[in-house]
Amino acid sequence: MSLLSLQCRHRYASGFELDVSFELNHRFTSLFGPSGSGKTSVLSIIAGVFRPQQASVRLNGRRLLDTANGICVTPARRAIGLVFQDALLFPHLTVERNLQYGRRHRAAARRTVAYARVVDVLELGGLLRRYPRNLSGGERQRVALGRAVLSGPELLMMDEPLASLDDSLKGRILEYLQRMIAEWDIPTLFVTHSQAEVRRAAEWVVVLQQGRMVAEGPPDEALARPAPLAWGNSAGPVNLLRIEQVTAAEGHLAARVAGQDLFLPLGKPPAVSPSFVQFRPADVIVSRQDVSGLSVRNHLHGRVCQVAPVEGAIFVAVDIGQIVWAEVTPQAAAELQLAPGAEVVCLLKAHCLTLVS
Amino acid sequence: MKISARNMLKATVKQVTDGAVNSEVVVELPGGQEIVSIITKTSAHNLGLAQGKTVYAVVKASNVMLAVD
Repeated sequence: MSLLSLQCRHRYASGFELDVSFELNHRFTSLFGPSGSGKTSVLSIIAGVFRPQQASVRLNGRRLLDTANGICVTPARRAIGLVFQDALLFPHLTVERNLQYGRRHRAAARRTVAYARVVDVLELGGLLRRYPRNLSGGERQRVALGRAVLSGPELLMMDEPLASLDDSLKGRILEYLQRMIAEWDIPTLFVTHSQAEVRRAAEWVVVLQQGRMVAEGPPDEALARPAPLAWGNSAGPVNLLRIEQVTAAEGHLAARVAGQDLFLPLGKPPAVSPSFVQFRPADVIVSRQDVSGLSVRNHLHGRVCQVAPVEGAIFVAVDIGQIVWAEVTPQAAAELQLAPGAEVVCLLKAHCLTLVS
Repeated sequence: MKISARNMLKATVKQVTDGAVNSEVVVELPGGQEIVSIITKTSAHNLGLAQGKTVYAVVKASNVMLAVD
C-alpha cells in the first residue's frame, strides 16, 4: 500500500488538460514544474478544495476521493495539513491562539503532537503573545508550519511556502521544516518551481509539465531528464552542491565539496550546517586536462555522466562526487570530445559561487 | 590550453588595481579597446600580472551580452 496514490483527469474550459497519476512512498517529495504546469491543481485535488471531472485519491489506503463511486471526503476530514506561500494566519488571533486553532481542529483519533514540543522545535516561544501583523515573513511561515503540524496531519502539503521569503530566509525555514518532518515523521508534499529547493530537500521529485507528469525519481535523476533540462534559466538546471568545513581563510571562504577544495567569495561562514553553494551551468568552463596559468580558483575533477543537447546548447553533467552541470556550445563539446566516461575538470570562478545556508 | 570557453582574446595588461581581496585588471585589445576583469588578488599575484604582460581574456559564449546602437 502506498502512502498516497493519485490519479486525476480534468479538462478546463480554457482547453488545458490535467492528466496526472502517481504514487508516493517517500517522506519528502517535491512536486516540481514551471508556472502553469498543474502543480497547484494537483494539490487542490488532494486537499479536496477542487473536484476534478475524474479522479481517485487514497491516503494510507483510505479513499478520499473516488469520482467513479461517488466518494468524496470533505477537506476537514482528510487529515491533511496545508501551508501556503502567504501564511494565511488569523489576523485577529495571537500566535498562541493560531496554533491552538490547529490543535482544536485535529481530526479525532489522529496522531497527537505535543504543543510544547512544537513551540520548542519551531522556536516560537518568544512570539506567542504577538499578532500576525507584528511578525516577519519568516516568523509567520514558522507559525503556519506549527499550526499545520498541530492538526495532526497524515500528510503535510505546502504550496510554494518559501516563494515570498527573502533568499536569506529560505534556507532557515527549510531547516525548520526538515527538523519538523524528522521529529514527527510526517510525509510531506512540497510544491515548488525552484530547482534549488528540490535539490536541497527532496528525497523524491515528481516533475510536471503542461498538466502531465514528465519525470519522477530522486532529484539528480529526475532533473536530468529532457523536460526539466529544457526549461532553461527559468527552472532549468541549477547547480546546488552540499559543502562541508566552511572556514574563513585569507580574503575568502574555503570549503570542501565531495573531498575537493573549494574557494568562495569572502563572507561570513554559515552558522548552520549543512551548507550549499549555488552557481549557473553557464559559469562552468570544462577542460579535459587540469590547466595552469588561469585565474580561475576552482578546479573540480570528475567524470562526464550525461550529455544533453538543449536548444542549441549542450548541458554536460559531471560527476565530481555530486553532480555539476556545465553549459557549453556544441562546438566545444565536439572539440573536447565530451561523452559519458570522459575525465574532465570543471573550472569555476570563485565570484560565480553563491553560498546558500 | 584546450578548454570549453569559446572566446580567448589576446591582450596586454594596462593596469592592475589591488583591493583588499580582489584585483581589478584592465587589459587592452590590439584595437585599443579595453576589457576589465575582476579576479582574486591571489590569482593576480600567482599569474604575475603586471603592466605590459600578455594575457588572454577568457569568456564563455553563454556569458557574452550583445547590444545594438
